[in-house]
Amino acid sequence: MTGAEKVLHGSLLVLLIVPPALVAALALPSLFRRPLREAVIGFTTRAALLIVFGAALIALVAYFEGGATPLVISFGSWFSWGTQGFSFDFLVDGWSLSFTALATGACGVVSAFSHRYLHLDPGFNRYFVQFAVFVMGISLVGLAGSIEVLFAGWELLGLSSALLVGFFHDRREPAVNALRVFAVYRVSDAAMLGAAVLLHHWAGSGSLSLLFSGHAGVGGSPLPPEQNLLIAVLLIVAVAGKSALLPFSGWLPRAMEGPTPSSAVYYGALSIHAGCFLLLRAEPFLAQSTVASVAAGLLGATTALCATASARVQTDVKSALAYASLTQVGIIVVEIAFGLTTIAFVHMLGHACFRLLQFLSAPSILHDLHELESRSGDFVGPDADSGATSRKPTRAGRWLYLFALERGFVDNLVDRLIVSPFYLVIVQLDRFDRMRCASHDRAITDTVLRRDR
Amino acid sequence: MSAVWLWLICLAALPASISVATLLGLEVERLRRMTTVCAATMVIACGLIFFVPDLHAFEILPAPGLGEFWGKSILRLDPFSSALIPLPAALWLLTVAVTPRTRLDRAGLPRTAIATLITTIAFLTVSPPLLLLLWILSVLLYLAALAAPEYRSARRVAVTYLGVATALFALGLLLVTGRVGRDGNLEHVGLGLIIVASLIRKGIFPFHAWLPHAFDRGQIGPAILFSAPQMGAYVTAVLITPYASLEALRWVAILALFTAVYAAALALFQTDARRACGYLFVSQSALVMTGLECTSRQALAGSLTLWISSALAFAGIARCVLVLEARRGRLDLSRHHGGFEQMPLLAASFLVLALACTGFPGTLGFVAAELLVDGAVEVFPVLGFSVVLAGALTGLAVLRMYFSLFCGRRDLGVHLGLLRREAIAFAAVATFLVLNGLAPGPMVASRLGASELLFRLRAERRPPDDVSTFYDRRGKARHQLSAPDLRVHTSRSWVHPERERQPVDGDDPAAARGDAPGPRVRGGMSHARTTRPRPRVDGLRATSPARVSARDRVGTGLASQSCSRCGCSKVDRIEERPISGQGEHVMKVEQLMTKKVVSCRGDETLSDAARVMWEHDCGFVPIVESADNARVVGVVTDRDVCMATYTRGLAPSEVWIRDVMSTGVRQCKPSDTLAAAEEAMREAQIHRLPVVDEAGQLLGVISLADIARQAAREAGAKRRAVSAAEIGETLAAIRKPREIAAGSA
Repeated sequence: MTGAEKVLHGSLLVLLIVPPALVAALALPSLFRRPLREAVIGFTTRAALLIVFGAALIALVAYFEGGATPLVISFGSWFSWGTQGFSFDFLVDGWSLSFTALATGACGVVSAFSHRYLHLDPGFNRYFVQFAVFVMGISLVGLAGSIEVLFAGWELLGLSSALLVGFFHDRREPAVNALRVFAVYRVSDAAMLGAAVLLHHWAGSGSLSLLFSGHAGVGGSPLPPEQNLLIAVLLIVAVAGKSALLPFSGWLPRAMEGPTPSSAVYYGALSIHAGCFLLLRAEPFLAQSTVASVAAGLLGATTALCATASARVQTDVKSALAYASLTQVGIIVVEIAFGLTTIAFVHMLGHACFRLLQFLSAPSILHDLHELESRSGDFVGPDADSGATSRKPTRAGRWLYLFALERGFVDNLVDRLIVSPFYLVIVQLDRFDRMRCASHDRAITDTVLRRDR
Repeated sequence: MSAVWLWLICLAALPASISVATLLGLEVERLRRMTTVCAATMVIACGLIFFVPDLHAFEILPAPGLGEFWGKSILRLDPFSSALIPLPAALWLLTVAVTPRTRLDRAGLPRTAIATLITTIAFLTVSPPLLLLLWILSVLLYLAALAAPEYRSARRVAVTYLGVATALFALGLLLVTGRVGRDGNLEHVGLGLIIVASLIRKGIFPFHAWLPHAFDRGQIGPAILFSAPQMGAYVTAVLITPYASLEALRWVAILALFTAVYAAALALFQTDARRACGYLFVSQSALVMTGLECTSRQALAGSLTLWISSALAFAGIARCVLVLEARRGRLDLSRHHGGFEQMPLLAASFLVLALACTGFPGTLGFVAAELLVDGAVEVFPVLGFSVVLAGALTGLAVLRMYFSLFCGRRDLGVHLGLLRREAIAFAAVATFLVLNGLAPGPMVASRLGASELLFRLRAERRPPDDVSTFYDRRGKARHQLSAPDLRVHTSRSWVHPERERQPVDGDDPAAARGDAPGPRVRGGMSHARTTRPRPRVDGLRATSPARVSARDRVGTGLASQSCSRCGCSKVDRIEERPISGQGEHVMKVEQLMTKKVVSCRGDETLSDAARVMWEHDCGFVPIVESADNARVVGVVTDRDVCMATYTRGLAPSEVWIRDVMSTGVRQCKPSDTLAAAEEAMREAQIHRLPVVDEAGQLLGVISLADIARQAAREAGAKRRAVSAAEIGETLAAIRKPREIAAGSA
C-alpha cells in the first residue's frame, strides 16, 4: 500500500465513522433524558463536520497526489450468504471525493447557520439528530462502492428528509406534507431496491464499480440490452423520485414546510442532486441504451421547462428557489443524457454552492426588505407596473400562467390517476373484509334478540 | 443429559410459579413485578442455550413403551429452533413490562405465563400429536381471554376461524400419520389440510379477515401473544416445508406474496390504529410465509430472520399503540394527535420499531428483507418484487401512523411520559433489533444454518425428482441430481411410508452423478464395459446421514433424530468414521484406477474431445502436452464442452481445447492411498483425478465411482478398505453446493 493509499484509507474511515458517532452522541443523551445544552450540540456538530470536511479534503488531495487512479476500498463483508453478500465497499475517485467534500462542506456551513436559526426552538436537539442522520446518509451515497451501501445511504436521506419536513410538530400541514414526501421517496427506494436486486441477480454482484463502468454482464461484458434497459429504467425512476423530476415534482414545494436551513441543504444543495449524482454514475447504463437515454433526456427537459414556468409565479421565496433549483436539475439530467458527464458534474457542484447561498440568505433578504418597507413606508421590490403584466394577456398566456400557478397540474394528475383509484379499490376491499366479520356480528345480534324474545 | 433436564425444568417452573402465585392472592401490581422478574429470568435462561455446550442441541426420545404415536422425539433443540426459543419469553417480558395498569387483571397475568410456556414447548417439539395438543391449548387460552361480553364479536369470529383451522389441522395429522391415510393414500390430502390450517392461523389471503377484527374488537394484548410468535409458521416449517410438493409450496408462496402486498396496502388506509396493526401483522406474517415456501435458501434464511425481527418489532409497535391508548383512548388515524414533545421517548421507540418492521437499513429487518427479496426474485422473477412493494407500502403505513399519532398538533395534555419499565422494555427491543441490524453476521449465519437444515430435511423426505430442482435452482447442471447422499432417510419417515419399499437402484451415486454421458446404465467411465450387475449400495443409506450430521453441526438435530427411528442405536450415531489406511486393509490407488485412458492434446478441438467421450463412454478427458509427452496439462469434462460451446455460441469443432480446459488439475500418485485420493477429491470438489507418475506422465484415472464400486463389493466383508459412509461423505463434500461451501468458509 502506498502512502497516498494509506491516507485515503484513513480519511475514508474518518468519513464513515464520525457521522454515526455524531448521531449517537446527539441522540443517546436525550434518550436517557439528559438532553445536551444548545451550545454543546452546536459545538459538537460543528467540530464533527469540520473533521469530516477536513478528511474529505485530505482524501481529495491524496487521491490526486497518488496518481488519480480510481480505487475500491473494502471494509469487509457486512453479512454474506454463500458466494453472495453485502460488502462495505467504497469507490474512491475524483467524483465521489469531490461530491463528498462538497456535501460535508455544505453541511458544515448549514450546521453553523442552523445553530443561530433554531436558537431556543423546542426541537433543537431533534433537528441536529436528524441533520446528523442526513450527513451519514449523504456521505454513504457519495462514497458508495456497492449498491447496498448506496441503498442504505439513500434510505437514510429519505427518512431524515421526511422527518425534517415534518419538523414543526404543532401544525398539521408539515405532517401531511412530510408523509407525501416520504411516499414519493418510498417509490424511489422501491425502484432502487428493485435495481439492486436485479443487478445482484443478473450480474451476481452488487459492485457499483462494475455498474458504473457498464461492465456488469458475464465476464465484464455489458449486460444484454433488455436487462440493461430494465435496470436503467428503474434507476431513472429512483433518480426521478429523489430529484423531483416530472411525475414526482409535486413534493418539492411541499418539502418547503421544513426549517429553512434544512431546505437549503436538502433541496438547494445536496439531496436534490443526489439523484443527479447517481445518474451521473450510472451514465454508462444510459449510454448503452438509446431508449433509456432519450427517456432521461426528455424527462429532464420537460422538468426544466415546467419548473422554470412554475418558478416565475411562486408567491413565496422558498418555493421560487426550489423550482429554480429544479430547473437546473432538469438541465443537468439533460446533460447527462447527452453523455456530457464532466459538464454535468461541474454544473452540479456550482449550482449546489450557489443555491445553498441563495437559500440561506433568503430569510435575511426578506427580513431586510420588511425593514426597508417599514422604514420607507412604501413597497420595495420589483416594480409591479413594468414588464409583461402591463400587456393584455393572451389566451395562451393565461393558460400558461394557470399551468405555472398550478405547478404543471402534476399533483392533481397524480392524485386523480394514481392515488384516488388506488384508494377507492382499497376502501372497497376494506369494506369487504369488514363485512365478512360483521356478518358474524349480525348473527350474534339475531341470536341475542331471539333469546330475549 | 442432566443439564438439559435442569434447563427444561427451570424453563417450565418460571411460568408455572406465576400461575401458583396467582392462587395465593397477591396484590396485582406485586404479581406483575414478580412476573416481570420471572420473564426476565426466562429470557436469560433461554439465552443460555447459546452459551452452554450441553444445550446447543439435544433430543429427548419418548419412553419405549409409548410406541410410534408420539413421533420420533418428544422434545428436541436444533439449529432451526434454537433462535426461536427465546422469542416467546421476550414477548412475555415485553407484555408484562408495558401492559398498562388498567388493563391488567388477576386472570390476565397467569394467562400470559401459560401462553408463553405453551409456545416455548411448541418450538421445542416436532412430535405431531404434541404439536396438535399445544395448538389446541393455545387457541383455547386465547379464546378464554375473549370471554368478557364486550369481546363477543371478536370471540365469535375467532371461534369460527380458529375452530375450522384446528379441525383441519387435526384431520390433516390424522390422515398423514394415521393408518387411514396410509391405506387410502390420502397423505397429500392430509398435507393440504395442514397447509390450509396454518394459512388460516397465519391469516393468509382468503383467510385473513379475522386477524384485523381480533385486534380491533378483541383484547389486543392476548392477540399479540397469540399471534406474534407465529405458531402457524412453525407448523409450516416443521410439517409442511419438508414434505409438501413443490407445486403446493409454490401456490402457497404466491398467496403469501399477494397477502403481503394486500395487507400492507390496507394497513396504509386504515382509520383505526388497532386495525392498522392487525393488517401490519398480516403483512409481516405473510412475508414470513413467503420465504418458508418459496424454496430458495436465501429466502428461507430471510424469512427465518424476519420471523424473529418482525415478531419483536411488531409486538413493540402494537404495545406502543396500547400504551398510547391507555393515555388517550381509542386512536383515530384520520386525524393528527400530536404530543411528540410530551413523550419523545415513546415516539422515538415507535419510530425505531416501525422502521425495523419495514426493513430499514441498520435494523435486523433490513437484513431479513434483503435475503428474502433476493431469494424470492430468484424463484419468482416477477412476482418476487411484491416483497419490495410490500416493504414500500409497509414503510409508508407505519410512517403515516407515526405522523398521525405523534405529530401535527400542539398537544397541551398532561404528562404522558413513559414509565421506567416501559422505557426499558422498548429500549431493549429496539436495541436488539438495531444491534443485530448493524452486525448481522451471527444471526444470518445461524438462520442460514437453520435453512440448510430444513433443506436437508426436505431432501431426505422428498422423492428425488423434486430434490434436484429444489436443491439448486441456479441452473448449475453440475449440481443437479445431487442428493443421493442426503436423501437417504426415507425409511419409516411418518409421511411417506411407502417409499420405504422403493428399490434403491436409483440411488447409485455413480449413475446419479452423471459420470457416464451416454446411456446411464453403464456406470462410470473407467469401468465402462463392465458386465457386473450394478451393485446396491444399501450401506450408504443407513450411515451417511449420521456422518453428514456429525461432520456438520447443522445436521445434529433433525437429521440424527431420524436415525434413531430407523433402528441404529445412539452408539452408531456418535461412532467415529473409520479412517482408511489406519489399522485397516489399506488399498492403493493403482489397484482401482483405470489404466487404459484415452487423452487429447491442447491443440485439438472440442469436437475431438467429444468424440473420445462418445467412443470410450466417458465424461472426462485428460489433456496431455503432446503425442509423445504424456504430461498432464489439463482436463476437459463433458460439462466443459457444453458450457464452452454454449457460452461462445460456437460449434465444438470451432473451439480449441487449450482455450477451455481446466488447468492446475489436482493429481494423485499410483502409490497414494484411497483416503488420500478421496481427500483430494473433497478438497477440490471433483470426483475424478488423473493418476500420474513422478515425472507427471499420465498413468490412469481414478474416480469416486471406482471407489464406490469397491465399497459395494466389500459391503459385508470384515476387512474393508473403504466404508460406504466415507464415500457418502466424500460425495457430500464434492457436491456441497458452492454457495454453502463459501458461506461456511
